[in-house]
Amino acid sequence: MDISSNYPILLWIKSLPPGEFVRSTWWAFPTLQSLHFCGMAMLIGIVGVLDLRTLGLARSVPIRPLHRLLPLAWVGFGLNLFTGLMFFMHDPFVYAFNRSFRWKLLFILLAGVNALWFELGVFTNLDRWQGKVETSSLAKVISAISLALWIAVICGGRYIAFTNSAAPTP
Amino acid sequence: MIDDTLSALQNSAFSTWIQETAYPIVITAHSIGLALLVGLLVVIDLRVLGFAKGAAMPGLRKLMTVVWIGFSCNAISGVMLFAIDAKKDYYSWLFRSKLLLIALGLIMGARITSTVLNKTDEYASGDADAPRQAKVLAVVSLLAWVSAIFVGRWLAYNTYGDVGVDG
Repeated sequence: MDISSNYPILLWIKSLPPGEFVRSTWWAFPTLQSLHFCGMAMLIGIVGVLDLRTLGLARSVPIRPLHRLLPLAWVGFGLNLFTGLMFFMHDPFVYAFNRSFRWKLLFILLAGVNALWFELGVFTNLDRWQGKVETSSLAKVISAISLALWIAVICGGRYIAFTNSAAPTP
Repeated sequence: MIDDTLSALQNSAFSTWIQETAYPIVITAHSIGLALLVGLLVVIDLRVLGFAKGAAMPGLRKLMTVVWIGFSCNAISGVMLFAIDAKKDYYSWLFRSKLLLIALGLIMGARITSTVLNKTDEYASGDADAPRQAKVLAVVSLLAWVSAIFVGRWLAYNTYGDVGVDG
């Protein structure tokens, strides 16, 4: 039984031009996915280096210049938000009820809150963390959480394809 | 001869186990490895190109340890993905291109390491500018990895009939 008519908003999103476009070409979806992986490498690469440095790797490098790469991490995030929205519009019914997708969104949200905690809570000490200087334990805990969350985001994304997408039957 | 070996591999119990059980974990590991391998190399390339001045390039050499962890993760998971469809992969020009692009990316990484990251005295200053030749290596590196990602994605469609969202 097709229950998609029970979800008029999702049907409407699906009918919009971007979704229509992705469905109508064979190359759009794999291209968007490739870009999604490129954005992921940029975002997680930059955030990951900052986290690894805070945890003590490449200790001779001061944190501030690495922190200045964050605008580029935002470029990666923007690219992935765009491509992610295109996936969703291509077929909202694949994602809206998918548990892996929901976990992925939650992990991204938590990673954002965690990053905000880093910025407001410990980053203010940044200039003390020149090369060779130990970062605080709180900063290390936040960075370890950050790495774990971004890996969880990757897992959530990959498991969308292996998770039931069916809408709950009324 | 090679066909017999490839058939034996893809019909092996190892291959069946991957297809029936390990596949989701294997491709997830391949993505995490990608983030570590390419993500960290992107940061090194960006620094060589002049971003994040203040971070001395030889100091970033330590990141290479994690790059190699990512690479090992993807070499292992990549061999496992190959085992599922060995024959098709072996004769696929997409698969062969991907291997060449990875080789190109690794060579660029090695050359950046030897020409800049290992020159501890020459580039000790955080504000040091990388030589023009190293910047060319960094651009080629970025292009190689982006291309490897694209080819890898297409390979998934071509070989495994991966339609992305529907598994």
